Order: sequence, then C-alpha cells, then structure tokens
Amino acid sequence: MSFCFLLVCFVIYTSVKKKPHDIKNNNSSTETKYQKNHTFAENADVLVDKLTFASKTSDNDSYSIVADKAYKVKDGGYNMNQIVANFGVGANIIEVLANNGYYNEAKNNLILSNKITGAYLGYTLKAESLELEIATKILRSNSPVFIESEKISVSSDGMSTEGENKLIFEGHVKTRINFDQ
Amino acid sequence: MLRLVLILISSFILSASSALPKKPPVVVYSNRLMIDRLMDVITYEGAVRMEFENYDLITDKMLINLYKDGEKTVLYSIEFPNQTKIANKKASETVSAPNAVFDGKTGIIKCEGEIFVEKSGMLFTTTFVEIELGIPQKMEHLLW
Repeated sequence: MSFCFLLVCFVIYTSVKKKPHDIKNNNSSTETKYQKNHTFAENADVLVDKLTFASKTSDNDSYSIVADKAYKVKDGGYNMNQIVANFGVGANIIEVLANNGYYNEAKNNLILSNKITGAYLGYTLKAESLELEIATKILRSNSPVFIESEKISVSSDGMSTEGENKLIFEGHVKTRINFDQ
Repeated sequence: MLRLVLILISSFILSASSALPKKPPVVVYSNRLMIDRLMDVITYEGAVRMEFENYDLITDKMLINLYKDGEKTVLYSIEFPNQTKIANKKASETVSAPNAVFDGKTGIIKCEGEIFVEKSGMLFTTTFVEIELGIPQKMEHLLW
C-alpha cells in the first residue's frame, strides 16, 4: 500500500517537474519573435506602464511620446508597445501612432515599427517602419510608405526628410494628383 | 407658370454643370521624388513617366514649379530639361524632344531643339512643337 502511494507520488513529481521545461521553450520562442519587432528584449529588466516622455526641441517645438507599456533595456533605451507620439511643427502637430517602437532618450531618436499611421495638415501617412531623430527633425523610412490627402497620394519604397522643407521619396514612387473641377 | 419655367431652366443648368466630366488625375511614376516646400518645386528623377488623359510623357527628370496664391498652390510650369518623349495614345503620335516646358497658364507644352515626330508610321523632324495638354492650373494642397 505504502509502495503504491510512493509510486503515485513519484509519477506526480515527475509530471510536475516537466512542466517548467515546456513553458521555458514557449517563452524563448515568444522572446525571439518580439525582439524582431522591437517590443521585448532579452535583457529587459524594468516594465513601465503608461510611459510618457515630453519635452521641447531647440526650436522650442514641443513633443511627447506615450507608450502603453515600455521595457527599459540594457542600453538605456525603451522598447515600447502601443505608441502615440506628437511633434509640434510651429503651430501644427504631427501625430504618429505605432504598435511597436524603441526610444533612446540619450540620442533622442525614436524607431517605430508595425502598423504606423500618421496625420499632419490633412495628410495621412502609413508605413511599416519609421525613424525619427527628434532634435534634428529628420525622418526616415526604408520600408514602403503611403501618404495621402484629398488631392494627392504618394506611394514609395522609402522616404526621408532634409531639414523642415524637403521631403524625399525613393524607390518605386507613384504620385497621383487629383484636380478640382 | 413663368416662375415654374424659370425654376425648371435653372435646375436644368445646375444639373448640366454638375454633370461636367471631371479631369482625370495626373499619375507620375519615378525612382525619386523630392518636394521642396521652400523653393515650391517638385522634382521627379529616374525613370519618369507622367500619364494624363491621352498623353504619356517619358523622361529622366521633371520639375513641377509652383507658386502660392494665398492659400492655394498654383501650377506655374513643368520643365523637362532632358530628352523627353510625348506620346499621344489616342492619335498614335510620338514627339521626341531634347527639352520641353509646359506653361501652367496656357496649358500648352512647348518643345524646342531637334525634334523627331512619328505619326502613322511616318517619321519627320522639326525644331518647334506645341501640344495642348490642358493640365489644370489649380493644385490646391499640393504643398503642405
């Protein structure tokens, strides 16, 4: 009887011992997937809910970056999820939303990825990746970009800015201009 | 009775004006596009192909010069500084010119230099060609 009891205990013990191993395997695959999307890093140690950065550029234009969740990583940057960023350009505001992103406070640059949408003066932007150097107001994307307004639409393989006044599209660029009649 | 007739006439005019065909959009394909808000210039480079109504304009560089009239952006000119091919798809006519300029005010593109014209299988040369493209001048919100 006691032998049976010991046998049952042994079986339960071995089955319980196996479970953490399975979970670890699942976790490692999830980590790899997230790392590609800049949402979770191997060395993430601090999790912050509703992280907000708000400051002003040297031109006195205000900006804010709000993330639903942020993970502080080893290099001092933050891997973030569900980002809403606002950048003042004179009296106007550029609003950018993205599923994932990475913000380096020291370098003051923001790398956005995964379903990026933006809005500025009646224009809407859709992109898969976008890099913003906030201090210098340089914007770059090496993935397909689509910009649309009521009168014009531009699609390209990538885009960048030069200063505040030059907007450059590269790759297969298609522009469509509609007219008022 | 007279009032009814006037109402009928005015409603007919209104419906006729709203039924005017809309200008089709201009579609431009290129390898590079630069919008310069300070200079009010849009530069297309690479394999440039502009499609508008019956026309295809093929070149390697195209500059759209604009100016601001109050809140509106108005088309001043379109420059084709390098070799340009203008194909009229409907008339099966092709004009190849070393350079061309489209005037936004007149809606006419002027080609100068050694021009090759191909029409109905015939090829001849000339030094000056004018084509009425009719691209509308009003280009609101083209610049941000």
